[in-house]
Amino acid sequence: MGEPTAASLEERHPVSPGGPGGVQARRRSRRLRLHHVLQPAVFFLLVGVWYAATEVLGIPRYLLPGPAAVGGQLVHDLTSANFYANVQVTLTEILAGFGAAAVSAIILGSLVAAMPLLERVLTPYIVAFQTMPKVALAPLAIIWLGYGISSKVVLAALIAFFPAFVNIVAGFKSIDPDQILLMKSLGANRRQTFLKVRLHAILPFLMAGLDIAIVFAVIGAVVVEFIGSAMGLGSLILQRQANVDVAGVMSVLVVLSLIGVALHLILLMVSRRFTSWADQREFTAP
Amino acid sequence: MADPSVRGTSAKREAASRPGPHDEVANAIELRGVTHTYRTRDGSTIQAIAEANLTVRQGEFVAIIGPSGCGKSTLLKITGGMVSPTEGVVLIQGRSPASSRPDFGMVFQSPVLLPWRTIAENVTLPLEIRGVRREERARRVRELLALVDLGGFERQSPRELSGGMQQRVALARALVNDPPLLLLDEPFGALDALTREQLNVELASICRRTRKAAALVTHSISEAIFLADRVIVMGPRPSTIRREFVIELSRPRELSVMGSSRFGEYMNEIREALTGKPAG
Repeated sequence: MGEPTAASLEERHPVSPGGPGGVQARRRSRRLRLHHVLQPAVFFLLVGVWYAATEVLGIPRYLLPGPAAVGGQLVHDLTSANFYANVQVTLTEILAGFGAAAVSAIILGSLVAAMPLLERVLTPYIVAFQTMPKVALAPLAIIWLGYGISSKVVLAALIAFFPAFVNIVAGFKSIDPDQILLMKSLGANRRQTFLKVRLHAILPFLMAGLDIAIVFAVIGAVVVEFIGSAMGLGSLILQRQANVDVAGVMSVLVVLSLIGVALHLILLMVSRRFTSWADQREFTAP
Repeated sequence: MADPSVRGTSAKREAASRPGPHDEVANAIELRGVTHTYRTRDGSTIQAIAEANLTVRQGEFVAIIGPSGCGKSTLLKITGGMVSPTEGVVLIQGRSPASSRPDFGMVFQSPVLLPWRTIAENVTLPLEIRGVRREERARRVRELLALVDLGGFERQSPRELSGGMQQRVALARALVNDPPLLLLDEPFGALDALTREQLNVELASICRRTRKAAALVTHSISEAIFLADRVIVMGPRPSTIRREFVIELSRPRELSVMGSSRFGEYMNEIREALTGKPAG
């Protein structure tokens, strides 16, 4: 294979295990360590300000209870079976709504991306429906589907659908035409091209869309619970508001945030597993 | 190449510009009366290729050179069945490209590696599409990566490799089916001059050892002369094949051949044919 010239030797060993890659990794872990210190620092700072506001400024307890009161309420909630029944209802609504949104967005997104005619026909309707504030449909959802779980699932799905759908369509459009040409030159059929190229290429977009969708599903479920329901964390907030139980409301807010963060982290883990190849940051960071 | 399609042989003979030495063996590429006209967005039609007749014999290396936008890349895509000709007949190994896809390997200007696959998985892609068994695939990948001097890089990801190495992977992928023909669309055009020369030497050596026919589209006159048995010069759009040069430099060729006087004469002649005026 010819004599190894300086150029070919150099290009044969661009990334030795202990070389540039190792330096990158070390620099990265140092940055991470700084994050690890700063993140809890911000938390304690906020709690400190909150504590000072209640203790020093003398804001009335019934308007703003201190961190200890909310913490106590949180512990009480997390040890109560009744509270978990509410968590279960809301979590079911979120997950069912999110699941329905994800599945329908994948199916419709693929169809629209595969059929330009369908896209041209549907685009004005999609835009019109997208611009409509979906939470404003909550009263109708209650009338049509009742106070049970189904009205929440449907609205959570509606709200979560669009970010997932838009991202999936964008993902299909972002596919490198050269990769499709390559598959064509290899004599691949449509199924092979879909499974070996398109599916992989849209995954980063799909995961980004689902990450937004899961947060939207939480909003959808809670809002419809506000409008009308007997169970769930949204209705628990309303009950406690009626009793001017601010610590109770805040405790539910903390739990809702934890649910959102947990779902986001699960998606992030799934996403890292399948789309690490698209994560260019570690190689392009200055 | 056991090819039963004798039907087309007589027609092939009268139309072919250069009938092959063994008539029972089909030519690697045969283009007859190929034209290409496309419609732009505003509805007007542009004739990219006025008429092209081209024969590449088994084991022959043909370079196609021409001004930018002359349709030489399109001609290669038509040859590979990725673009349909407006008129004309395309035969690869005596068959239409659609039915002979595994019979050629293609290298594009950019490596077009799938970033979610490792180097080995990229090279194995054509075998997967053909349904070759896993053990056989692993064996072929090892062979091919050794051939392009990338042994040991199997598990790396494409973005960890330099541009030159990525293009070697693309070459390995094109060769993995062991096709008798390579279609090369400015494969080293985006690389620096040193890497490019090095890869040209390796490409020439691979084609020689494995007896591949090749059609190379390039902008570089010296690259065309260095690699090819025959250089085809295309004119500007709507393009036709303007002239043809048989390169009678002995093989194997070293890079030093580029300094020879014969090489310089070819350079001048081809430049003249390209620009239509004597080199000054």
